[in-house]
Order: sequence, then structure tokens, then C-alpha cells
Amino acid sequence: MWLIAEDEMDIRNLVETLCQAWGYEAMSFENGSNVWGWLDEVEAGRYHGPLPDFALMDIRMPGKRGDELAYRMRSIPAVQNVPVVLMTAFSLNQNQRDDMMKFGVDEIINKPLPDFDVLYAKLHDVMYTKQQSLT
Amino acid sequence: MTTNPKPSKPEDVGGVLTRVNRLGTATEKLFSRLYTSLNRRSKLQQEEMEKVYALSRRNKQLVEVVKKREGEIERLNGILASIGEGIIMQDNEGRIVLVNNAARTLLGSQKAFWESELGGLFDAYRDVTTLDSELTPLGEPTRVQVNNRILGAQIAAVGNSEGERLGTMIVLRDVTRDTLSDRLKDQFVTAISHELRTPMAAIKGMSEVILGQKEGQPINRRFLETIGRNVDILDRMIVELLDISEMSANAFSVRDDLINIEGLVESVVRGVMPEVIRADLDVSFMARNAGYLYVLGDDQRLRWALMHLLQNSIRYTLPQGHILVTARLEQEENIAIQVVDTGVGISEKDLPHIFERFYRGEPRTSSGKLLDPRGLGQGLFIARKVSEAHKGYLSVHSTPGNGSIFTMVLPAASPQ
Repeated sequence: MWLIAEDEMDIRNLVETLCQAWGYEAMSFENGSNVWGWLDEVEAGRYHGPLPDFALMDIRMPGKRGDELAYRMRSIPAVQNVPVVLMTAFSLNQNQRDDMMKFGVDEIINKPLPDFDVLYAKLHDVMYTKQQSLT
Repeated sequence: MTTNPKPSKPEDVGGVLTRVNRLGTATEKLFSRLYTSLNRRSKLQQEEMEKVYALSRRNKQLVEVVKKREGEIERLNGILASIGEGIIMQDNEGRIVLVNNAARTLLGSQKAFWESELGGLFDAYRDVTTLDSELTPLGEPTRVQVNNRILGAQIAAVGNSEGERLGTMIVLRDVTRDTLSDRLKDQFVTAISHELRTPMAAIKGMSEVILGQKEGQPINRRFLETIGRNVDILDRMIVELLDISEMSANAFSVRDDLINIEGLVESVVRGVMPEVIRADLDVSFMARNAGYLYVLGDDQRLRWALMHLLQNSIRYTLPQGHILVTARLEQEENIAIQVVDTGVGISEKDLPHIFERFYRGEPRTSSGKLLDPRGLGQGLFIARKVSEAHKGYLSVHSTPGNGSIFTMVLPAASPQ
């Protein structure tokens, strides 16, 4: 199960399509505040559905930013080890990148997204590295 | 006691004469001495007098010099008063000794000077006492905010030819506009890269999905629609950017087709409905004088202009707010289209700039939260230029916390 958070409908649809094509299920959110609300439920133990094993989120969304969400996920035991990849159409400087990577983000990729085989390799690489670091 | 000389004997006469003679000589000597002494005093006096004359001449010269200096100072003050840069001079204790007109205008009052960072500049360089030249800049130029203005400030030490510090001069320049245009440029570059990349990402991604499908498999229409929609977004953005460059060069002109405003507004409102619903708002449209609402103009440009007004209302109105669009004939010769919202409104600080190219304000909710929707900051600039290209205008009335009213007025055309 992949967590997808993206406010641009077309990009969200695209990422969902990819996710399904690669054989995963998707749980989608159309803005940052909805993810935040869902995290509230998870933290309070009121959420009993399947938990994601990967998260792909936009950085700039209404309500909460992707990096804020990643940071919060690190403090909730149920999702603290979920690999998080952020997507952005903005150019980030090295400091911004470093800060995000320090506080819970595993990888940042730029939009337009890379070719799908490259994207696939990149995302799976993140998942693999994360798994290695945990065991 | 009176001395009456005794009648003398003839033999005594000679002696007396001798005595008289001696007395005469003595008297003469005395007078001569007296004279000499007197003479000497007058000589002294003369020297004094000469000194006085010299002093007075010197004095006269000094008065001339002072006059000349005063003239120079006046001229200098005249120059200082008339130059555009603000000049503030402080003595070696930091007391203000001169503020020229420009500085007075920039600062408003001396109070503003002391309350701003400018007041502390002197202290930072108080210890510099020996100088290499008569005017030595101290440190780098800084930017200081005073009364909603951004001032460029350079502090310099003023010295005499011996390199002794006589005082301090601060030169001020209003750089609000430069700073604003720098900021707009930076924001624009950031925003445009985002606005272009997002539809590109969708187009690239969807076409790759389609290419990845097995041959002979029917193409998913939804993917094609996504591609089409994003191509339209890019197309519109590029045309608008070209328009903006024409507008900035005053080379922007529009078509003059007969347009039914009622129909146009209706279809624009319909077009933004999905966004209105997503934002949990409602929108209504009311037209008066239907049948007379015609203009000569450019259908596409007017649509976009109106769309910008509506999109702003949607973006800057909190959930459960309302948007009202009206169109009516005004004094039989103009058509007024109003977009009224119950949004967060426009602050006094932003209001004078909202029609500037790429300007994006800092709209806040009444609880102080910053609203920062996506966009390039071109919408109102385009909407106003489009109104003007139709020989009309676009005006705004806004109350922070209560909402905004944008009124586009266009010359009416006869329906024929």
C-alpha cells in the first residue's frame, strides 16, 4: 500500500496509475491537511485500516507541506519507518534539501518526474536502502 | 609760605643769571626729556594704532572669508537640499547636526530615525577616529526598513585634510521599488518554473503510460483528456506571457468582435464551478438589462481576464464563503461587471501594488494565517490591461476581513 499525497489532480491520477501498474495499492490524499487528519487518527489508535509501506508526497500542498508530514510521521510509531519520497516542481537549494533529509525525508525528486523506469528504480532503491538500514 | 626774592645786590646779579641760565638749561633738558618721552609714548601709541588698523584690516578680511564660507555653506546646503539622496550629518557625539529635505521626506521625523536601525549606525563606527581621506565610507551599504519604505543607507566618516574625524554622514536612497522588482523577479522565476513543470509532468507521465500499453490495447480516454487539458494550460500560459510582454511594451491590441457579455460571464462562471465546489464556496451570477449587454472586443482575452478575477475570489475566500458576479448597463453607455466576494480582502500595504506585473501580496486570514496559493501574480495585471485595451477600466474596493469587489467597466456596444 502506497500513501500518495498530491493536490494537482492530474499528477495525483498519474502517480496512482503508476503505482497500480507497478502492482501496489494506493491510498490517495488531495491535500496536506487531509494527511495530517489521517495521522491524527493513526496516532490516537482510531485507524484500523491497512498502513502504507511507502509514501510519495508533494512538497507544496494546501494545509500542510510534505516535509512537515514526513517530520510528523517520524514521531508516530505505526508509520515512523515508512520510507518517504517527496516530489517538487520548485528548485530547492542544498540547505533546504539537507534540512528535509535530516528531518525524516528519504529522497526528493523533481518534477517533471523522470522516465518511469528511472522513477521505478529510484523509488525501489529508497525502499531497499531503508529496509537495510532498519535491519 | 611765599618766597619773595630779596632785592639782590648788583654783584649778585651775575650769579643769579648764571642760576637762571642753569635753570633754563635744566628746564630745557626736562622739557626735552619730557618731549622725548612724550614722543616715545605717541610712537608706542602709533604702533598700537597700527596694530589696531592691522587687526581691523584682518578683521575685514576675516569677515570676507566668513562671508565667503557662509556663501559656500549656503551653497552646500542648497546642494544638499536639492539632491535626491537623503543626507544626515552627525557630530562626533552622534548628535544630528543636519538633515536635508530628502532625508526629512524619507524619514518623516527624527523620531523615525532614532527608532530605526539608522539610529544605531553611528554607534557601530563610533571608534573610528583617524581617516585616510576626507570622506571614508564605513562598512557596506545596508538596507533599512523605515515607515513601509526600504532605504539603502551608506554611512561615511567626514574628516579634515589631516585625517581627523569631524563627523559622520549617512546617505539614504529610497530603494523600495528596486527591492520590490528584485523580489517580484525572484518570485516569478520560482513560480513560473512550478507552473510550467506541473502540466509538463502530467503530459510526460500520461504519454509514457500510454506508450507503455501493449500494442492493440485501446487507449484510455482519461489519459488523453489529461494530456489535452494540460496542453491547454501550457498554451494559455504561454499566450498570456506573450501578452504580458506586449502589454509591457504598450503594443497590446485586441480584436473587436461583438460579444454578448451575459453569455460570456455565464460560461466563465460555469468553467470555474469545479474549483468553487472544491473550495466549499458558492457562486451566483445576476445580469440586469439582459439584451443590452454587448461589447466590441476580444472574446478570449475577456474570458481570461474575468477568469483571473474569479480565481482570485476562489483562492482568497475561506470555505463557506460567497461569490457574486453581476453584469449590468451603466448610464446606457457602459457595462459594469462586478465580482464580489466575502474573502480575506486586501491589506493596505498590498492594495497599491496588486495591479503590478507579477506582484503577489501577502493575504492573511483574520486569524493571521498567510494564504499562499499557486500562481504567477499576473492575473490582475492582465485583467486591468485587457480592460484598458477595450477602452474600459478595472477598479477595486476591498476591506480586509470582509472581502473585495472588483469592477470591470467596458464601453457598451449596440447589439445591432
